Parts: sequence; structure tokens; C-alpha cells
Amino acid sequence: MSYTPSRPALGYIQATAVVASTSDSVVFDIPNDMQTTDSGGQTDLIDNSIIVMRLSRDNDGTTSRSDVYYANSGLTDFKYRGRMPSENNNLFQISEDAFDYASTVEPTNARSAGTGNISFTVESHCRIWRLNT
Amino acid sequence: MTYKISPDSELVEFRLALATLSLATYSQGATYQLASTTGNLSLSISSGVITLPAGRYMLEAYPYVDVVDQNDVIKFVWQENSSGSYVDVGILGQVQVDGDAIGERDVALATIDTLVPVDVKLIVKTLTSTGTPTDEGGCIVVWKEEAL
Repeated sequence: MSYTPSRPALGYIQATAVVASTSDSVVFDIPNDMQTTDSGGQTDLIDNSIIVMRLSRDNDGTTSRSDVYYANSGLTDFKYRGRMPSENNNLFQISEDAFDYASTVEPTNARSAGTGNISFTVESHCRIWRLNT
Repeated sequence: MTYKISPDSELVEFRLALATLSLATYSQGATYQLASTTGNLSLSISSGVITLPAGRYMLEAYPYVDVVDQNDVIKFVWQENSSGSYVDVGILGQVQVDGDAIGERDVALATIDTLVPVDVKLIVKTLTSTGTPTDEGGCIVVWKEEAL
């Protein structure tokens, strides 16, 4: 590259796998090379960023538990939230993206349906576009 | 997109390329073909291999497949060749079918940060099927971070 940015502006971070009843327990503590840090479940992105979050679940056999999530706490607008379907005998059960523009990431459960735990995987990721490097 | 937030900040631009995916015959190790590129980032493509100039990139891939049956397992991954042979990079993607072993994982995602040109391609990493799945297209998204 023809310049030396203080940190990458473009990339993705991942979450450690966890078995939990809601997305509140998911923590994005795998920075890859994005230089993010986690504290108390909230991930500091350093600068304001466009965030596209997609949570991933394992074949956990929990056919009656789905989760709706925001990329940060305090959000209420439905158009920013994503949805994870239950692990069920259906096709193409892909999670929806959640969106935000912020300097932090903190998966936050908006609604849950059903009972049981979800096995969130390390493939849960946030794509990040930092607007200030 | 272009922003400048403080005098000390770098002025960054994100460029974007889209391309369609196809695969004549699904087999393990097969390379997806790319066509119909569009966007404000030009890609150099030959037989499914993208040669990326020096820079930082994020690669996304979303292949669509009509599986033979609900027990098919089809995984796909980005590979890069910066040292004479291709190696897997980033997050493995998987076509979603009933009873899969992974679940809710559709995108193959990778970042490439290179000081020299590097070849990348999207391949079928794992194919478990009683027959031959049928290609239904799909797309890739290539982002590039650039200074102005």
C-alpha cells in the first residue's frame, strides 16, 4: 500500500464459541488483525465503524430456540436487528445480519423464542468498515 | 465512501467489486469461475483466479447450490497463493441443508493484506453427496481499502 494506516480499516472479527440461551453471552474477542479489545463482553473497535454482524450456530439439535439480536445494546429500531432461526428440519436456515454504526460491538438479545440453549460457533463474525484510521 | 474525521486521520476509500459465481461440475477442490464483474474496483481474473495487486482486501463469497439430498455437505473456502502453493484463508462457508453438521454458516470470508500481488480463488473444500449437486450461481464481493 502507498500509505501506512495506524490500523486496518477493513476486516472482520470473530466470537469465541459459547453455549447459551441468548446472544447476550456471545463475545467478539477474536480480533484477527483488527486490533480490537474486549472488556466485559463489549468489544472496543477504537473508531466508529459500519458493523455487519452475523451470528452462527452449530447443529445443536435445539429445534425450539431462536434468537433476535442487535449489534449493540440500546438499539430499538427493528431494521438494525438480525435473526437466528432455530436448528430445525428446514432448509437454508441462515442467520440474518444485524447492522450498526458505532465504536463498539456488544451482541444484545432483542427477543427469544422457545426454550433451550444455542451452541454459538466461532464462525460468528462482524464485518467492519472503519471510517477513521 | 470517503470520510475525514480529524486532522491526524487517514483519508480512506473503500472500493468494491461484484462478480457472479459458477461451477460446471461440483467436485472437491474445484475452482469456482467468475464473470460479469461490476463495481468501482477492477479485478484481474483468469480461470477463476483473481490476481490482487498490493493492498488490503476483504473477500466474501456466497455460492448457491441445489443439493442432491438433505445429507449433502458442501463447504467452500478462499485460498491464496503467496508462496508458491495455495493455502486456505479465512472463515469456511457451508451450503445450508437439512441435518448439516455446522449450521447457519453461508459465507466464506477472508482478509488479504499484501505488499505484493497475490492470487486468490474460491474452491469447493469438501463435497459429500450421493450424486452431483447442481450449480445455482451465486456471487462474490471484493472490498479494497485505499488511501486517497
